[in-house]
Amino acid sequence: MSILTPQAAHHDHSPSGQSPSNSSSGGLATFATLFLKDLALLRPIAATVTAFVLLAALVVAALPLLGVSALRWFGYTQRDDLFDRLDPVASIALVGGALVPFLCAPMILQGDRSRGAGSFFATLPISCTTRWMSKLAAALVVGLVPFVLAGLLRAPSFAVKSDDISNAMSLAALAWLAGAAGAVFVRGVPSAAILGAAFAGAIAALAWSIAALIQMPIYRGVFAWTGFDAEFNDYLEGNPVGTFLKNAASSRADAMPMWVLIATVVAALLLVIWKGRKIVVNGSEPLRKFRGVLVGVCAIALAGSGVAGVLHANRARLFARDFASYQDEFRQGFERLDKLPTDELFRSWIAQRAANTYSERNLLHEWILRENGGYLRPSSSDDLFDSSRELLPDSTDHFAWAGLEGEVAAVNKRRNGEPAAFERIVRGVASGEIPATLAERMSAADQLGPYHLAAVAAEQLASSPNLTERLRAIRSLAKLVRVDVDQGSLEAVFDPSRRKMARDGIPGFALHPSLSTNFVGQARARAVISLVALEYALAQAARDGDRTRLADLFGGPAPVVTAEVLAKARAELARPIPELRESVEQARARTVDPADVEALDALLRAKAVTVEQLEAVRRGAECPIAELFDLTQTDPVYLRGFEGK
Amino acid sequence: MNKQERNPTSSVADEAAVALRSAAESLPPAAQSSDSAHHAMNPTKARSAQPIGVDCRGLVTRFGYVRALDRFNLTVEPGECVGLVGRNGAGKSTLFRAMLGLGSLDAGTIEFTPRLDRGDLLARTGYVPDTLSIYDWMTVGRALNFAARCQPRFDSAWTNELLALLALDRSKSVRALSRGMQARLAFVLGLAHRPDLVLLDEPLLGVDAITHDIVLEVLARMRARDGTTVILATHQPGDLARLVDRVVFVERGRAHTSIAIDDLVDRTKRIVVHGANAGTRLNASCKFSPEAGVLLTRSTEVGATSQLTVTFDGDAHAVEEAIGKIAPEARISRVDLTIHEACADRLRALEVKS
Repeated sequence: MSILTPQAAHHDHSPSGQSPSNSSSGGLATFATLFLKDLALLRPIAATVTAFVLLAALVVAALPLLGVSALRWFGYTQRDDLFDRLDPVASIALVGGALVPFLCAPMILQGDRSRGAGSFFATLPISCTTRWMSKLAAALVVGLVPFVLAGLLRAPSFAVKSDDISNAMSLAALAWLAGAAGAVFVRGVPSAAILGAAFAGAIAALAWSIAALIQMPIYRGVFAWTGFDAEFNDYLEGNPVGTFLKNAASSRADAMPMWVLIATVVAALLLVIWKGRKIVVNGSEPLRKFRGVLVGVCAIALAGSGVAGVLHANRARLFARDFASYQDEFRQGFERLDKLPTDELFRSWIAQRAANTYSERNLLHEWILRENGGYLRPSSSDDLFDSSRELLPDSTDHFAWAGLEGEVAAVNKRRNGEPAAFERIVRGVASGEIPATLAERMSAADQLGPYHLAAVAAEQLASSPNLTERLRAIRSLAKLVRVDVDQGSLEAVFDPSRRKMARDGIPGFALHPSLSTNFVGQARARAVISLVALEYALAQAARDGDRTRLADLFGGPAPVVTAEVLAKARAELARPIPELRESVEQARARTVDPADVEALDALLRAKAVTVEQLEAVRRGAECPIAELFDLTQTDPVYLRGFEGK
Repeated sequence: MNKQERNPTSSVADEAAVALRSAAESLPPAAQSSDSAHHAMNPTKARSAQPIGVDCRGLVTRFGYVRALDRFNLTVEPGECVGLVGRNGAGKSTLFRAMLGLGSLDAGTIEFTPRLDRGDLLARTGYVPDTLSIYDWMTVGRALNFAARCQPRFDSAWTNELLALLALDRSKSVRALSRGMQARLAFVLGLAHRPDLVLLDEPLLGVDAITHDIVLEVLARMRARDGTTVILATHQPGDLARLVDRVVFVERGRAHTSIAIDDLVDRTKRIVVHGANAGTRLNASCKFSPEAGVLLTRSTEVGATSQLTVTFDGDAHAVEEAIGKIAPEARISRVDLTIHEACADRLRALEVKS
């Protein structure tokens, strides 16, 4: 006699708990049959996503047939090749891959029931393992379809976009779990998807709230003890979700609380799925006795959030410790400059600023890596920079810059107290009346305004003894105008964040469309525009002598720059810049700074896949100035002095 | 008692026999050459059968505050055929699901004889639900192939013969099947592996008269030859006489009465008491002795007079004597009940009682 008791009904009598049986079917043929059946269940969803993505790809491929206006309407230029245009379609596929599992999970788990075969499927003598394995295999296959599509669409730049794909796959995994958890409670596929999403969100919110409640008094205690209430508020004002996501991207130790909370959500979802596994296979009624499950979920959320709260508290302790050293550095920097006489203080500050801003290392980073090679980097991790990331136990030297901030505070205090002295010294250094290096003159001119800086940069360009000096001058001139890439056309605008150069009154111009990704060519063209703007401003100042106008333009007396200097600067601009790729390799050979070595190595590793882009950079560095502009829309004044160069 | 009245389906059964013969004659040559119709009615030659017995004790299943099964007890001997009769929602389907392990039990035990693990149980049990349970994107043939690959005891020859008998087209889409055709397919899927225990949950809803008789005949022959155990839940008590050994009445999750089918009509009696106000007086004051076994009394107004209908399973003389004491002027007439009426009155009685 076989006896089924309530316990047996819960365990032995369930597919997952069934004992081995000769009559249970679990062979390969059965698995294949179930697998095909589960694939058929998901076919409507997979087919819809695939059809949508392929249709979008087809539209993108056919866009050129519709003309330039259609291309531009969709945000493409004529120069965008097919794979460039397919990039957003790949994003659609990734979004589908990340979100579709919300629907797929309930469909695959409830599909037998929702398609009317619940009792039939449940009464087949198939082993539990075979049932689940077929479902998992079908889920894997269908779940990968959008990612394979995205990978195919992004094949040329797959390595560059791998972050997106891995992020989408992570979200998809969570979506599978959430959808499955929703399927345990309700029978409808859409409602299960919505419930699953809400369920995951609720667990995350619960865990986050509890962790915040745990960490809050600890933070308050720590910061009250160290006396940094203001910084504490600043620290907490940031968007916690955004901060956590940034930390996730950083994969640093201080991202641990977030991973703990993610693990908490996953564990809670797994508990729900485990408790409901009989329901989704048997096609029986939705989860009863959910109070037990709810208690389990809450217990997991409490445990996970407790761990996260402790980790947060530890971060608060480190933050407080590091902040104390920051304050110490700050105070030392402030006192170091504050005790100097005014003239010496300002001169010292200008010299220090020049050394920092125009140093060789700075040039290497800002010019080669950021402006010329920044787009080669695998991810824009700088954009995800989160100051809290610096608050790590191993970041003992991260507050060296605090001393500089202290010095800046001392300078600002003195400048506000003695503005006339500051003006006198800065103008003296910028104009050369006070003996100074060119770097110091540029640093001082930078304080006076863009025309002063352009004048000194032109002088530096005209007298540049080597490539480094030349690059510094070109960079200084180029940074005075900003180039926006909009709808495939290039438009130069003057940097709104600085004291503006006058956009009015200078002749019209348009950059060559090929410069949209050619930063060296852009820089040369922007330097030309700066020179022309300087010439026009100086000519206008000489012509009308209007003091108010001069004050608007120059913030005081106009800079002094001769026609010979301007002509020579133009000649220097027309000269080709040696191939930067070689410069990177040379720089790598002589660099010892670990940060530089790492960045340069990454750049060199990427060289193989970016030969074409580097070639474009080389063309931009060597081509005649005339090729940098769209000649049909550019006033000839921009090409004066560059004829034949 | 008129036997014709007691079993109104007997004439239909005769017609079904004719239909079966004509169905066998209409089989394709291959099927005819294998004597498929004969095989269909005599499904014994392929393998030996070992009937399964079931003993349910104290089953309790709750859905929230509702007890779908409330200390349900039922014993079915191997080879026995039991009919379950009860109103909608009485707990019949829940009982089947509990037997198959599809729903959890809150209390109670289910014992199978011989001892079976779940795999064996499912392999040797046929379940025919009241609605077709198969993927609607499949064709009939594909659905059967699916079942064949997943059911190790699937009998293709037997299935083909059932298909032929029930006139099911393999190429037809499940989605396109009518209600009756779906019931036929559900029946084939449930019996395709020649189960030793058959659970039928309203299998004949929506089927035509010929199919109805074929289904009952197939089940009867399976019982006769294989000794298959059958538990049939039905709202058509007329089916019971042709198939079951006894009837169990189910009300609000409990099995209340178990009665042999042959005794059902004999033991369920009804009298009608006529007379001015006799019905009203009797209904208000009549106290029947326990020997009377009164199940149900109903008072109705017929013009200026009232009448009382009494259904009972005890001694008729005791009932008539009790009535005569209160309303000597009343005229009493006995009514012969059909199985359908007997079941309906017993169900009403249970409902009133509970």
